[in-house]
Amino acid sequence: MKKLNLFSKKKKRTEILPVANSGELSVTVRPEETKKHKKTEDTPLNSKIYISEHGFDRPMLIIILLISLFGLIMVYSSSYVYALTYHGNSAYFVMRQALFLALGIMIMLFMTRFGYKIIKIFTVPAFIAAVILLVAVLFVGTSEGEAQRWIFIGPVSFQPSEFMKIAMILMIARISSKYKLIIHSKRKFWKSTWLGFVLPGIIIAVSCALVLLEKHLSGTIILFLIGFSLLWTNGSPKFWSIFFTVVGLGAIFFVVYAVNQYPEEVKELVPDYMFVRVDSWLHPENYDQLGDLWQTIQGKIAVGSGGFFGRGFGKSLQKHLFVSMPQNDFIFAIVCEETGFIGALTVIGLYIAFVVRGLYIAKRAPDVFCSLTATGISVHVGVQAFLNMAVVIGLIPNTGISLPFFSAGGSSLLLLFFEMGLLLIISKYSPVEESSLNKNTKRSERQ
Amino acid sequence: MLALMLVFVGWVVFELFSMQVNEYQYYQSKVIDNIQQEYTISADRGQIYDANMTPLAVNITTYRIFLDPVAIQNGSSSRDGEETASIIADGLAEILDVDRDSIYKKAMRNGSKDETVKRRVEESLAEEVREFISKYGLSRKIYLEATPIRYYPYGDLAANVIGVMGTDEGLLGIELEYNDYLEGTPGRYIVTRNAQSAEMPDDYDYYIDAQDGLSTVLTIDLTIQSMLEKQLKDAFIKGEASEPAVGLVMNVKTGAILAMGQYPSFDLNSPYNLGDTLFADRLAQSKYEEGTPEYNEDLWTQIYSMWNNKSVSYLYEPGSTMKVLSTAAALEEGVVKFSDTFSCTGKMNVANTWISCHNKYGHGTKNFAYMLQQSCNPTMMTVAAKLGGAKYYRYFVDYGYTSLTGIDLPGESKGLFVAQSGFNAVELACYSFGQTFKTTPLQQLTAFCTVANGGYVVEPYVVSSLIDSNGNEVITHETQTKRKILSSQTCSLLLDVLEDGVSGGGGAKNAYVAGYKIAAKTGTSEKRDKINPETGEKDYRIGSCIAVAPSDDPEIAVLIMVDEPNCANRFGSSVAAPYVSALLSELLPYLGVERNYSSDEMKRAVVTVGNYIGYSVDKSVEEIKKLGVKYEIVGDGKTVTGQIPSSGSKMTNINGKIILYTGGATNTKYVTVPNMINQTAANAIKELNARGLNVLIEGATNYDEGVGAVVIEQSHDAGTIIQYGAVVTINCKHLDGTD
Repeated sequence: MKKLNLFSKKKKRTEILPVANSGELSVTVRPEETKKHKKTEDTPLNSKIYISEHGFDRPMLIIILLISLFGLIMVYSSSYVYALTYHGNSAYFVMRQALFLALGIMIMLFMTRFGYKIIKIFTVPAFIAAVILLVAVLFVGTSEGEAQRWIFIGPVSFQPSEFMKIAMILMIARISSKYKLIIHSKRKFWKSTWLGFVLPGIIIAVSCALVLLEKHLSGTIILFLIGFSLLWTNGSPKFWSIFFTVVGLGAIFFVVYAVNQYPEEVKELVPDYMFVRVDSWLHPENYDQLGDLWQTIQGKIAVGSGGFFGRGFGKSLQKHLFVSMPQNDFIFAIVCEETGFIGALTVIGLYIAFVVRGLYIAKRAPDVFCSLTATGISVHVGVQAFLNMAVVIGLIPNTGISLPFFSAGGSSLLLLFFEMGLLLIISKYSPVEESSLNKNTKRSERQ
Repeated sequence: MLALMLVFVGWVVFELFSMQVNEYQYYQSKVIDNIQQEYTISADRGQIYDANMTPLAVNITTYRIFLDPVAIQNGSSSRDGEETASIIADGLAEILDVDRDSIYKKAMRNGSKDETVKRRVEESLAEEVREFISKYGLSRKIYLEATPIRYYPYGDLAANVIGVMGTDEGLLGIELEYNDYLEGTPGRYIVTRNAQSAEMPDDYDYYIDAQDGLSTVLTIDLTIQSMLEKQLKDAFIKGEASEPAVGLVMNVKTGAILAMGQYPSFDLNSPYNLGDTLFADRLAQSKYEEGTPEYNEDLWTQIYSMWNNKSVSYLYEPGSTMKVLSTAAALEEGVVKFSDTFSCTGKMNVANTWISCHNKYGHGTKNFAYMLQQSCNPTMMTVAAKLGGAKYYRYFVDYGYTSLTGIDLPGESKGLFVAQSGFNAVELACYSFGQTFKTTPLQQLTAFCTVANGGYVVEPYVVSSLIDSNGNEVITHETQTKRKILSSQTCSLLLDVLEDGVSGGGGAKNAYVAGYKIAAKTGTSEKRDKINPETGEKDYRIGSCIAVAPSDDPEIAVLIMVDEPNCANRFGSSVAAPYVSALLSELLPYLGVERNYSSDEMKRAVVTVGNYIGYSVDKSVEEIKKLGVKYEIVGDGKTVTGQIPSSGSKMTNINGKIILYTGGATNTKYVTVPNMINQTAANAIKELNARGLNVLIEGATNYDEGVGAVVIEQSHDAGTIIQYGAVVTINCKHLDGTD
């Protein structure tokens, strides 16, 4: 019997919570039935629902831990030669990574002790802080390559753009939950459009604009995709989402076509770094093979040479400085080389499992804010992971996207686990339909 | 939205599959390209040794000295760039003997990282450069780059046989013929290297050791080779030849080549340098402007002619040396005896063609032995006619004229001859005295060896064994006897007649060496295919002489061939035979063949004057008597205080006299040297003796044979006043010797 009880941390704590008066063990009537609903706390849309608190989602934790463990092993394997060559210690990166990973897991688990309502409190301050940091980084940040995106606080360095991702998710979720009734209203199209699409759209635009000012193209794209995914799911008219998706895809094809056909004219119009990113991807033969393209070429060689079964753990040849900094953005190339197509599929499977489970958590989240937050976090990890893979195998231009849980990194890993913490907090709660309340209670009693 | 994401994921998976499964081989090969670096471990080329294991071709390390102008111009803490450059220019100019200004200019060249100062710098000089570098702290400004090169310690000795090395393989001679053995097998070392060329700890490495080349041991003996080349040089210069003179020394029993040379030759250490040879003259005569394609083409033509090993690749009409082989065939078939008499009127009609003898007055009626010694053409034609064309041609084939000798040298030419079907009476007549067909000097000598070794046709060779780096013989040459075509009686009979001709009044008497029995035959052939541009006629000649010694038990056969002599007497007996004689007089003692002077020869033996100063007169006289020369004592002391000729001088003991001064007496008598050129040797000796001078006879020491030899050189010019009793050397030669 105990084995079946995977979803709850403590079986006896499976309780039916009232939505309005959190903390009390009673079933109450949904607040939106009252007149004050616009000013009251956020609730699920379905009014006939109660919130149950249980243990956080164990499958999600297992998926996170599996990805992290795989990632840690690959950081060790891929960084081995690089670390030995440049730091004189083959474990240089893996030690740091393990430390941050342990810290991250601790933070994540610690966060699960909190209730979901606490998240909402940090939303606006976090977004304001993110905006300030992004502005600050333009003045005090340090650059890596042509982008100026790192900020140092004491010995810790981090990218404000990473922080912006979660801040923006929370902010959009906040707005979308605040006006959820209007947004979901089928009859108030323009109002819904305004509150559900345009207002969050402004948040997205501000975030993207700030990140773009750092010349951080990949960060901008990821922010945009996360934000856009929330516009799809926040209940605003689908018309706009579909419309802008079509327009967006059309724009991508147009850009690619334009760069391909009229390179001279496009070059005049856009910043150089953007043009070069796209053009070097389309026409690698025109660029210095030892320069920027080196990484892309060597990454592809690593991927292809892995074959179906891979060379085996630790046996990558391309990590011998051919793929430079293989523990960072191109770690997936080493994964492919060492574990082959099978390993790559495993990694892809883990990410799909993550996204599916994340969206499942979002779907049964206690309220709209949590649901959108969970969606945003899941999409963030999914989008970033698959864009990274696409870069490594040469499908899209190399823009400096790291692979979540795999790529070595300190602060970004901590931020990621902070997001995971939020996800797990949300997973502790799920709405229960009134009709099934008794059954659920019975079941928990049976347990 | 989910659908879009799934499409994207599907795209990634599809692409992964096509890369990792479909295009796996391509990417795998890219990785191998990335990580594998192949190094060749060069094998040491085998050396070339002479018969006594003296190295003739070795590998040494030389250095290319070059500058790094950028580093030089940056200077150092204590010196600026210009000062550094001038120190380097001064230092290197002195050590390497290179123009100072050119070094300075190179050192100050802008933006260059590598300016060669000198190539092929030897180790000793390189060491001086290293000291210079450390003394002035010029490391990273001056560099030495080691390059292994082939070095030939003896320069031009046996150059055409040893051959030339190209970049990594032989182009000529032994270096080419034995290249596969000499070069060895290079090893390979495949290492896996990461992107910064550091070694990777992987199982992809492998190492195959290089196998050094085998060394060749030649049959050529350095000492004999230099003896031969000395005579070739003499023969070439005195014969005023316009083509290189060729010489060969061969072991008659084994076919081993003891020496093979030509003059002029080239320096193996700078094989592309025409030097001051006739080839350089020809290039100059062509008057092409240097650097033009025509000039370069001609330059290469001249270089290739210079490199050409004439012994094996030059085709010539052998001339009268062939008569020995024709005679051997006729004797073997029993169609003629040496006692048979023949008549010569100076010419003979064969199938309506008049063929003349070199002696247009005819040799009269004499026996065959005499006719052979005098090299009579009509006699030879008559004998050949007796033998018949079919049999003659069979011998011609058996001697090997229709095939290659099979010597282990590259570029051997096959003779030019008519097929048996076209071998008519005129051809038979001409072939019998060695005209109208062509063969190589080596083939001619090899055929001659058949007569010398009792009738066996042997295969000549120059490499006796191949040895590995530890000196173990890997391959040893076995004497190849192809067939026996003559009986030993025929051979010894023939050699006796030839020897008789040399020591007696035969045409080859210039080949005579006192104390040795030498069978020789000279030959003079017309170059019927080359017009002399000066006379407009085909009047070029080739004079040659082949000798076998000792004739009673032959060991060696020698050939000297002078191509296109332009001196007055162009017969082989005059342009070649004297040098064969001179060569044999050195060679036979070196080979340990005992001299046996006949009583006549004893009378004109060469003696070496001893040191008598400080000894008692009685004892000195006793010693002098042993030499078989006279003495004269000046002064009345008991002890010798002076002597003429001085100790160690060589003189012919004929009428020789040593003057001993005692009690402090010195010479007071001086004599004027007479002009003896073109006088007979006998007269010259008489004149010198009359003046109280001693004589040393060189060249034809059998000066009183036949019509008598003539003095062609004298050591002191006519009119020179010299001490009484001094030795005057005269060089004699039989000028009556014809063909």
